[in-house]
Amino acid sequence: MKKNLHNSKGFTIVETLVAIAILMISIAGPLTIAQKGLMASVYARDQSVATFLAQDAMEYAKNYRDNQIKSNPSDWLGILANCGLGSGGSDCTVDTTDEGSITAGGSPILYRTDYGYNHDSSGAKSQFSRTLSVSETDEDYQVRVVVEVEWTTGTIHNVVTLENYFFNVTI
Amino acid sequence: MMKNPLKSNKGYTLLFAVLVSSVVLSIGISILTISKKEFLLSASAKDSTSAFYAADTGIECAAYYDSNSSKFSTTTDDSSPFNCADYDIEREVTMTGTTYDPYVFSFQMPLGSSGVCAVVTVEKYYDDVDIERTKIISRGYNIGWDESDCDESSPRRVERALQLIY
Repeated sequence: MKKNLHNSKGFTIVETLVAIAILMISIAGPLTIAQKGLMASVYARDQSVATFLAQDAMEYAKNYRDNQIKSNPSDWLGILANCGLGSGGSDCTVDTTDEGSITAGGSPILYRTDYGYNHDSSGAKSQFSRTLSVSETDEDYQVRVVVEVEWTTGTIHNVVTLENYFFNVTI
Repeated sequence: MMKNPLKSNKGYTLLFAVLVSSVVLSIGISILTISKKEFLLSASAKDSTSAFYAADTGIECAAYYDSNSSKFSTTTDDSSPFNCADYDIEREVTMTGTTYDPYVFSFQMPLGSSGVCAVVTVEKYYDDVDIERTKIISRGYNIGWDESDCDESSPRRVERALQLIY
């Protein structure tokens, strides 16, 4: 009967700890992989949205330039000339919804409204902010146009930049 | 005492642990695989947009100098450099046609210093009714500018092309 006390049925504390450690590693590893994967997909979603927001502003500015060349060829840049050209210029904000407008200065933060993303602060504040800046090149008949869309995920600051050159030419 | 090995409960814990671990691992890996695809897709959307605007700049550059200079003229040979996007471009005549063969000019240009670049060809030809036409083909790339050429290869390289005929 005494022998039964030495019979090692069940687990010892060491065995249990080892088993728990192995299980922890084998579960925590894949969970971390899954969590990183989800973070990457959130970033992918935001980057897609940011890219199309940047394209949106660029196309609006290009269309504005086209109209300006047709209607007022002597001032082919119009408002775009205030978006950073010369001294005292500041980055512009572009509202492409409804009537649409290009404004020098103003808050770059985009709001989510019924019409889409714009600068109408009655909408829900989005994580994106967008600026359009125009800078001069060596020649006065061409300008460099840069649209930047920035957003922050947690503490990480991200940016999508689009660069294009506008010429004083009608196509 | 005879023990039937098939009816033993030993090893059940191990089986269960392996089962749970493999299920969790496969969920993790599948989420990572899907996310990686999404990530590449969104990166390609970004790369493709910058390649598109490179092509657009190339088109406007060629169209501007075609209508405001004789850089792409079939009668005057003006090979002096011209400036687009703060870069001095020297065009090449890749094909000199006789009266009814096309003239083809080409040039390459960078946009800024990030490697975005464009390869542009300008073709002058006569159409069916003997009117001189211009065809500009601009290929934009998100990366690949190397000193003086837009041909550095990379697995991330995206091409977007625009064609303009007038």
